[in-house]
Amino acid sequence: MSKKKVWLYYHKATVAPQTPVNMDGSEFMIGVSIVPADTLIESKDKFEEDLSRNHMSALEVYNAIEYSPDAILPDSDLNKQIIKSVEHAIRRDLVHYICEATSESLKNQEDGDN
Amino acid sequence: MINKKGAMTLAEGSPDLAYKTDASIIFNTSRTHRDFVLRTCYDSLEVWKTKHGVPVSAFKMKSIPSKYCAEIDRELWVFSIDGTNSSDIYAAVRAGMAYYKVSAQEIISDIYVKNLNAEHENEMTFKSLVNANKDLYSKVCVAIIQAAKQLGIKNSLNFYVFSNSKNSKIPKEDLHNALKSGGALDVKTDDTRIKQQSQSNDALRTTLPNAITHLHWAKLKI
Repeated sequence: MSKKKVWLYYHKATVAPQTPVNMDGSEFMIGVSIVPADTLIESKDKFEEDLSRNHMSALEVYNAIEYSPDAILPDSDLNKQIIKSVEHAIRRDLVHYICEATSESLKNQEDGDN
Repeated sequence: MINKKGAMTLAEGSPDLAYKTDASIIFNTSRTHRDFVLRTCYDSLEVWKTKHGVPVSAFKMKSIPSKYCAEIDRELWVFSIDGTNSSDIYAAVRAGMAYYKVSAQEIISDIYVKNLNAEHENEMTFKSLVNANKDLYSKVCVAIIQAAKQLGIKNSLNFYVFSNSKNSKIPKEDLHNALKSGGALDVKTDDTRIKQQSQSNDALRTTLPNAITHLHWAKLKI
């Protein structure tokens, strides 16, 4: 039996108050969708459906790649979380999402706050 | 008898250290030592296992035969605890008393919750989501007070809430009003930015550990 493939969509998307993990009143979030799917085409549909269901709309897709454990090393908070979320996405066969930054957090960084 | 310094949390999700509610922080970002923390989950054990994929050895305690408990990282977790239900809070505290061999006062004096949020938020309108969350926080305050009375508590309690003040799901002013309508005598916000990791209720969406939140404190009078 072949192992389920997982696709990573690095993107920026608009969000609404109802968007889960939009907890700082942001207008957009930058993050990664982790999509279990057999083909790239199927993953694209699942990615878009997941955004729509969660009141998000893609502004920009930076990259869409098939996940490979060799390519994602646990050398950053984001990559460590991707590795964990890929496990959960495969186990549950559901799209997972990681929010890396929000419009509010980026604003705070510009203001020089941490 | 030496009093132990404990705390109780509501609506826990993942047992990963980064996600667990920080029950050692107190106002003005000071920290205090906790001898123990009683952690409670809204989800049933079965749902929780499906979401988080963590194998745990669950057990039932004589004092609360209707709820599953588990020891995770040397802490007691109690499942199927609805924070808006005083009987559930009472049951969890009873379990904590038996497990940690402490008084109710030592458990329930400091209660924490992180980003309490109505279920199925993505199916609601914006207005109904804010109202649902206000209702949730008010009902939790009422339930805590009722449970504390049942447990014979006389002193006031500290209810700590982690929520970004600009959270559109329940902005600071709405949160304060909700806590007051639930019976809080006094509510204050520590404006210091705290970095935390959070998950959605369905555990499908997560932040990184750099998400900013604030600590709100409510004094609940019994």
